[in-house]
Amino acid sequence: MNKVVETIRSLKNPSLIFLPLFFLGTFLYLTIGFGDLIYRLFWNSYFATNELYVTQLTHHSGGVLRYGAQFLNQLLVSPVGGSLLIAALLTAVSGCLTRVCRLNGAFAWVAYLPALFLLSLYTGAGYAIHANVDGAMGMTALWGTLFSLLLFLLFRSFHRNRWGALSVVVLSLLLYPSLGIYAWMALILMVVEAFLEKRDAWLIGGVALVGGWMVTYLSDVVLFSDAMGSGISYTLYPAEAMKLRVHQLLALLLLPLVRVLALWEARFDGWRNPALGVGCVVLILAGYLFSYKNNNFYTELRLSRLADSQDWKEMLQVCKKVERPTRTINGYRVMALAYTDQLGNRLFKVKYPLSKSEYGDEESLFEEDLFFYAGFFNNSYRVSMETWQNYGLSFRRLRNLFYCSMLNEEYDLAIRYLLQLEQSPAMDDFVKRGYDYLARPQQLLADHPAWEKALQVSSQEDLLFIGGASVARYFMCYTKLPPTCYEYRLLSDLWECNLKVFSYDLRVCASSMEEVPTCVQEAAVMAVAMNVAPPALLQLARVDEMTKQRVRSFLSDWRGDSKDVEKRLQSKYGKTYCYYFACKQAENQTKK
Amino acid sequence: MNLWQKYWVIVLCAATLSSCGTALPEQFEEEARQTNIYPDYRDITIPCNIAPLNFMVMDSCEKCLVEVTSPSGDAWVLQGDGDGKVIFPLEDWKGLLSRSLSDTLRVTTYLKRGKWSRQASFHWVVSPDSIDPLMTCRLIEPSYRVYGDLTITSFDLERNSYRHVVENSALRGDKSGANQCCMNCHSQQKNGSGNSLFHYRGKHGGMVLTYDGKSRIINTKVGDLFASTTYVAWHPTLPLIAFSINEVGQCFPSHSSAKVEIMDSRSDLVLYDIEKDEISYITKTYDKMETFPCWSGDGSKLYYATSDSLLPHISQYKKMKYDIACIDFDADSMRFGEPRIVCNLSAQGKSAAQPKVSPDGKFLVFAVSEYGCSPYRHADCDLYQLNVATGEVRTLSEINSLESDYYHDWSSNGKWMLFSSRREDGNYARPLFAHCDSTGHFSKPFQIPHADPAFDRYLLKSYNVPEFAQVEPSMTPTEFYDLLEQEPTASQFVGKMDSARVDGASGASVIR
Repeated sequence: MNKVVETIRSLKNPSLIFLPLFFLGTFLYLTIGFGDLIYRLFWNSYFATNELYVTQLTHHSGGVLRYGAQFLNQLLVSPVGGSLLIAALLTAVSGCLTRVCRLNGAFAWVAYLPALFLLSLYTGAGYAIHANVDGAMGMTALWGTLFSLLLFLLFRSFHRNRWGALSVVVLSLLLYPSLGIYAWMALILMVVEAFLEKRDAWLIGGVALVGGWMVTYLSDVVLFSDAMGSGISYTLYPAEAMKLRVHQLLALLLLPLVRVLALWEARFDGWRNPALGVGCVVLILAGYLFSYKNNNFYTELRLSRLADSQDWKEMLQVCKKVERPTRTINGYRVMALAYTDQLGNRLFKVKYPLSKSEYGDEESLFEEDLFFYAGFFNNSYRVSMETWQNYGLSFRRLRNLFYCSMLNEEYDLAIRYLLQLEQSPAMDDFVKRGYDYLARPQQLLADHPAWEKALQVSSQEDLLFIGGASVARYFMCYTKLPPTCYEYRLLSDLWECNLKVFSYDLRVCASSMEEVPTCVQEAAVMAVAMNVAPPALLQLARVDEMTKQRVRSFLSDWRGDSKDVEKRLQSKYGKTYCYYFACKQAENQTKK
Repeated sequence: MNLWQKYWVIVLCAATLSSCGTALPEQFEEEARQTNIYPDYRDITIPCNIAPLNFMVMDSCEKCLVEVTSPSGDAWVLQGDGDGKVIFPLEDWKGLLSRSLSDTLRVTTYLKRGKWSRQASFHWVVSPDSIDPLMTCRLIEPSYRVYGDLTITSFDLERNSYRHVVENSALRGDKSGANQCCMNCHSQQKNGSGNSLFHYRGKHGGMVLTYDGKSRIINTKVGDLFASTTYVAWHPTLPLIAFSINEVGQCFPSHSSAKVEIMDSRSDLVLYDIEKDEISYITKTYDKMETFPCWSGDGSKLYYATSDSLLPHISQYKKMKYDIACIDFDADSMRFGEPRIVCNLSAQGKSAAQPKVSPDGKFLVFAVSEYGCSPYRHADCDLYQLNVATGEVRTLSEINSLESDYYHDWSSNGKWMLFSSRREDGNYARPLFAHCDSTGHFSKPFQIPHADPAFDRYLLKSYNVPEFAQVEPSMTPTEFYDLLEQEPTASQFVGKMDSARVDGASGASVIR
């Protein structure tokens, strides 16, 4: 151990040890902590080679960089491979900055700060996913920054030669149509360097400023018919994920700052080792602080990935661990229960029955999944189409469009989506399977047996959705199903606490039911006790004596009082329908 | 000669050889079937001024050659690229068509799959009837609820190019589309004047009218009009535009193949006088609906779709049946006559909408489906034709498909018809063109050509409400955007509020 410390101390350039450590650290941090997120970022991105798409994407300043980033982003299909690539690029950024600023003393750690901000584009990608931003946003920033630094490195190698330096400035200007803001970043670094070195500073500054303005105008306005400066925002992606944009800008701002700081490094030579120690702590803390921390969100990502692989049992296990679920988690739980035929027995067996909403329109992220698994393929299809129109095409949306078309037996339409997907090498396996399904449609259900259940729903009469129906309501749609889907129908009545409709539906459905779930029995007793149904309902619901007594005892304890319902009744009545009903009533009263 | 010069000589020679030295194989097997190509341009009649019909050979092969021969002795051999795309150079194509008027071009493909084979040839009849040079339409994902990426696009039918007249994503600086509104279709007066309009909806929206080279934005929801103007019919010669005003609703069935249903809960017809900036009712009825106006070629009649009942509830949309009606118009007195039904299909349980009459007034083509006036997503929607002289109605079976065939438009010479069809996959609409002979019969329709023949294969948008145009919009997109930032000026409503001047029996009003 002492030997290692001795070796580190004796190192002239601490980056020799910092760089591999940084690579390893970021790789492990991403792989272990953010695998599901990286998987989702892949599915939220897109890549195609057809002329139409390439033209559309590259028809803005910075489009070439974005297209290249989308190509590389396909590696994220494997979270481990993706983590490797991201870690390597972050290390390259830090390495370039270290070299270009010649940081090898007390401030060596500062060269890693921009990379940390860039890392946060992945560890904080929750913000981007909520804003439906293209999953290749982080990759664009990584490559763009790296290009800026490489151009700066080139400038540094020519900076003693006026014409050489000017050539690199001109090269950066010419790269604006391809790199957008990152060409500007390279120019800023060059100007800063020229002023620090006091070498042709005004000449280089003038060429960069005038040339930069001209090339921005020519590229944005003349070449691409956009607004002046649009290339800058195009490479920074939409402003919806504001926090990430701030991180992107901070990373860029730090580049020239680090260069300026490097000038003073020599003054702190005596403090080298303590400074490096403090720097390491700062880096680790910053890495943690910049990440997006929301357990429910990560649970939702996990559930979404498990739903993709139809691992319903694991989904239920994951849901079990959630103290207070969000509406989306509840949605996935309902889905998993339905697919494992446990809906009747377990739907209301939850510790806290009410959903928790931490962010605005949470369900829109997973709406297409939930509609799909509920059997509303047209709705799922429409959600995919609309989100793509608003936020861009993605593998995930195309995959969903393909599946919806297959299950709607619209095979020509399904081919159209496969044609899009087959242009991405990362989708090769999926496309191959897709063509197999087209040749033998029955194979799709053989591979996804759970979807049979969704098909049962889709074969029912049309329901009309006027405007957008949210997922919070998707379960409610079952209220209109015919008796063949009695379980869904009754349970959705109970979910909505609509005892009147429930008592009517029970009369229609009772004879078809082999077993009556406890929650249905409880609801029947409540309906009779609350005078919304005649006593004969108890017979139809085959209510046993124990349930009757439990509900009566609950009603006398509850007395319709909404105060502290959750705490007051949980120990005695938790995980029953009565408890759910009381909590829901209390919530409704609070809303009013 | 240095190394670089040698390199360039080799590259140039290779390029020249590959483009000019294409020779047909000497030995091949004959195959009786025709090659599959995309788009399907086999055995069609084409306008003499159409852009190159570039296509893709869809049969798998190592190599493909295409030979185009004409009776006048032209013989043109092209090689398909790695994807089987056959691209005709524009100028050579134009030359070929100009030398082949009224002739039949024979197209033969040779495929190499180990050995060469020659497929049965197909033909292109070059009609001397030209087609209007432009087509404008909206490009929109077929969901109809969000508009962020909506464009109004102009396609050059003579040069295989296109440009976006307006891009919604560029408007109001909002790429996400959250603050954007719907744009309706671009429509041009068919007299070569370049007068045109489109609607921009929403809070500061209105009708964007370009007339006599000047553009302005106008609020047309004035007086007691219950909605702003919607479907457009330019008078062929006068500065008048007939509109329908519609209260439009839509709903989304959870399971049926028609993924969206669009219906009116109320509709009437109005007339806008451009020079006076005045708007007045043509029909104002409380128990009927009138929509989709269309002037006859001489401007003496106005055709439209009408229903004799209102929509009781949005869920009852399948009960709505429309017929085609006509109302006379006297341009001197600016008076409309009595409406009369010219095609009663509701009696047969069908619904007719979107009438468009040929410029010579002989043939009226309209869309027919089981119900409603916007049958865009109904697979049963077909185009029908009314012979105006004889009253005979027939299905245009020569151009209809199993999927919806609807929204159509006549070229200004009346020789070509353009219509939308979802025949490719039931979802994405593509524009098709067909030649109309003197008896009202159409040739096999063909899809819009593009520089890249795979364009429509990868385009995940529908061509919505395509119409012919003769003149490119004179304004630049930026000028349009500036105009849309302005507050619209209100047009003047003419007639009393809830007007007593409306003819009680017909609903027709007197235009001042």
